[in-house]
Amino acid sequence: MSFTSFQFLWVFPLFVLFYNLVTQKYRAILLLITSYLFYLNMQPVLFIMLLIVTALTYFSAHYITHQDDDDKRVLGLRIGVVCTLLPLLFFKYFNFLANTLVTGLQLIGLEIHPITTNFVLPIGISFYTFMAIGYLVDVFNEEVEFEPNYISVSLFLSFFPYILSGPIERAGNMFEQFKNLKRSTWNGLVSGLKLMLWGYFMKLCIADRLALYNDLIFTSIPNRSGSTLAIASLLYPIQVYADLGGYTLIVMGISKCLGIKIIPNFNRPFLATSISEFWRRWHISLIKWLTDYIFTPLSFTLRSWKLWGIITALMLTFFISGIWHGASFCFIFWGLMQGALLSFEAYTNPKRNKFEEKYHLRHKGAYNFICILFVYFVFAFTEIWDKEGVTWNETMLILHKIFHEWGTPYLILSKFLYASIAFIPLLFSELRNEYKPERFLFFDHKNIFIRWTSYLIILFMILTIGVLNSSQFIYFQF
Amino acid sequence: MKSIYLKRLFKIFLFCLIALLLDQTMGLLFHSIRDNTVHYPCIDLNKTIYAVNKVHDDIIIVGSSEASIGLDPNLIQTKLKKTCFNLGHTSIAFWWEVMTIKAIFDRYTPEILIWDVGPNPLSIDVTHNYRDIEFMARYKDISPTVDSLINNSIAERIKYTSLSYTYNSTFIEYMRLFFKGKTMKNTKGYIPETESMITKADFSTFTLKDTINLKTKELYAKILSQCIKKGCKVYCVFAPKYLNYTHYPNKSIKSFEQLCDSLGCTSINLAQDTTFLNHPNYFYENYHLNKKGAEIYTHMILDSIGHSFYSIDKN
Repeated sequence: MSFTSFQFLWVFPLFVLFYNLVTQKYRAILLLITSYLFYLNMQPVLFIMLLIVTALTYFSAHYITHQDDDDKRVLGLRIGVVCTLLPLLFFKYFNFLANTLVTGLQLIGLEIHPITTNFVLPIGISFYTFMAIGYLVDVFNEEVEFEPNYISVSLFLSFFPYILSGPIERAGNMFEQFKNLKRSTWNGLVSGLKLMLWGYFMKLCIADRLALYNDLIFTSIPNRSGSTLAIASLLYPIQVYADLGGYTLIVMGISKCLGIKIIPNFNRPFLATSISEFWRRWHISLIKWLTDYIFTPLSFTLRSWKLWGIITALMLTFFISGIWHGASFCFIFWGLMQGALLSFEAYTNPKRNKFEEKYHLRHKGAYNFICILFVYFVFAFTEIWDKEGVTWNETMLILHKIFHEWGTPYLILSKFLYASIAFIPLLFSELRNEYKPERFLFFDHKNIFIRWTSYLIILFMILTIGVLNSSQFIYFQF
Repeated sequence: MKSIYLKRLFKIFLFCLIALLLDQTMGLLFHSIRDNTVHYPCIDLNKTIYAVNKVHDDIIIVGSSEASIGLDPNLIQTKLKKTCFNLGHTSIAFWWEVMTIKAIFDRYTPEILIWDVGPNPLSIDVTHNYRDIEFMARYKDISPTVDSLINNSIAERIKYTSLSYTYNSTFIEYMRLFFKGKTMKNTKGYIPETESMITKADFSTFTLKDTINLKTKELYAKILSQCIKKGCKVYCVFAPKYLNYTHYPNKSIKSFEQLCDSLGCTSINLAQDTTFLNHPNYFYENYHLNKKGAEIYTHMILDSIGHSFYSIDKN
C-alpha cells in the first residue's frame, strides 16, 4: 500500500484512532506490527531480510557493548558492519560486480560466461542497512547506548513511514521517542496533516506531473531531439526534489500525527548559492550519514595530507554516495563528479571569498541569483548520469544530442501548463521560507479564513491537477 | 474539556462540509461547460458525449490515437458516399471503445464499424486497464451504459463522489473549448499530424509480446459478435507502423485474426505493410502516421472495405 493510494487515505485515520485508543505500553508493539504488515503488503518474500538485518544489528550492538577489551569491540563492530552489509551487497551489487569482473577478465583474454541473479532488490534495504550501520557505529563510539529492548531496535529499522524511502534516521533520535510514545495531540495532528497535504501536493501535482513528460522522453532517447532532452534534463532535478521532498513531508506528517518527530531531508536546495551549500540542503539525512560515518573519520585519518586529505575524503565519500544510488558506472561517475565539484570548490573557496569581499557581492541579489542559477544548471547537468534505468550509452547519447543535434523541442503544452500552475505555490513557498519566513504564512496564518482557504486551494489543486491514477486496481463488471 | 473536543469535532465537520460543497459546485460548473461545448466534437475531449448521445453516421471509426490520427473520415465519406465519423481517442483504449460501441448500438446500428484494435490487442489484460474507467467517471451521468461500465466497488464509489476529481487534468482543455470551440474546424473527429518524424529510431526491429490473454479475447469476441448480430459490417484494422516487427504476425496476432474470421468480421492488417515500413515521410513518430501517411492508409483501408463491401452487396 503506497502513501499515494486511495486505500491509505482511509486506513490511516483508522490507524491513528486505534493508535490513540491503545495504552502507551502497547503502542510500540502496535507500530511494529503495523510496520511489518505494511512491509509484508509490499514485499512478502524478502521480509526475511529485514528480520535478519534486525537480529544482526541487535546482537552485534549487544556484543560491542558488553565487551571490555577494545580489540574485541573493534572486531565486533567490523563483523557486525560486514554482516549487515552483506545482504545489500548481494542483492544490489552482485550482478554489477560479477559482470564487471567478467568484462575485465574478457578484456585480458579469459572467456567466462556472465553470471547473473534474478533476485528482486528488497524494498528499503539501502535505507535500513545504513540505519543499522549508523546505530552500530554510534554504540561503538558510545554516542548512543545499547538498546536492550528488541522491539525498539526492530521498530527503529522498520518504522513504516520511512522504511521505503527514508529519511535515514538516527538511533539517538528514535529510541528516545519509541520509549515514550504519547497520544497524538490536536496541534500535532493539525501540523502533521498540513505537512502531508503539502507533501501530496509536491508529489502528485509536480513530481508525478513532470514524470509524465520526463518518463516519455527518457524511455525513448534515440527518438528525441537534443532540445527535448535538454528540457527534460533541466526539469528532472525539480521532479526528483518534488518527489523525494514530497515523500519526506508525507513521512514527517504521518509521524507527527503519531507524535513522532522525523528529521527533514531537504532545505530549499535550489536556493543554494554554492555546490557545498547545495549538498547541505539536499537529501540531508543521507549526506549527514555519509559525513558522520565516512567523510569525518576519513578526513581525520588523512589530516596530515591537508587539503589533499579533504579532497580524497570527499571523492571517496561521494563515490560511496554514487554507488548507494545504484549499481552502475553512471551512478559512480555521478558521485565522482559531485566529489570533484566539491573538491574544486574547497580548493578555490579562499579566492572566491576574497573576490566576493572585494566587490561586496555577498548580499547582492543579482549575484546570488546568478550563483543559484549556476548551481542549478551544474546539478541538472550531473543528474544526466543519475537516472535509474538509463545506461551509460544512453547517457552519452543524451549529451551527444544536446551538443550536436539540437533539433525541434517536443513539448506537451497542456501538461507543462498544469505543472506550471502547480509550480507557482511551490516557488512562492520556497522563496518565502528562505527570505521572509515570518510573513505570508498561509497554512499557519492566524486568520482561520485565510488558513482554510489555503488548505482548500491546495486540496483542489491535488484533485484537479494531481496525477492520481497510478497503481490502482480495478475489478471490472462487464 | 468536553467542549474543546466538541469544538474540534465541529471544526473537522465544517471543514469537510465546505470542501464537499466546493467540490460539488466546481464539478457542476465543469459539467455545465462540458454540456455547453458538446457541439464541437473536433477534439478528443468532446467525443464521449458526442458518441453516446449525438453521433448518427453510417460509418463509425473507433480506436485509440492510431485511429484519430490515421483515418480520414472525409475521404471515406467521399469514396463510399456514406456519412462517417472518427471517434478515435488518444490515450484511451479498450473500455472506452466498448462503451462507445455499446452506447451507439443502443441507439442505432451503423452500417460499418471500423475498429482500430491497436498493435497487439490480445496481449493486454484489459481487466486491469484502469485509465479508461477513470476517464469515463465524469460521464457517468450522461448514460446508463457509461455508469454500468464504471467499477461499482465501495472504494470507487467514494472516490467518484468528488466531482472535481473526475475532471482531473482537463480543466485547461475545457476552458479552451469553452472560449475557442466556435472557431474550431469540424474535422469529423479526425486529428491529423502535419509534421514528419524529427529523428529516426536507431533501432530497426521491435518484438511484440506474444501472449494471448483469454479474458481479453473473450471480451473482444463478445462485443464483436454483438455488433455483427445487429447487422453491422465490422472491420478490425491494424494501423501501419514505422518499425519492423520481428516474428510478425505472431501467435497472438494470428489468434485475433482467426477470431475475426470465426465471427464473420474482416481484419485488415497493415502494420507491416511495405508501403509504410521504414518510411519516415509517412510518420509523425514510430507508431503514428502523419497526414500524408494517413491519406495513403485511409485509401488502402477503403480499397479493402470496397472489395468486401461491394462483394456483400452483390451477394
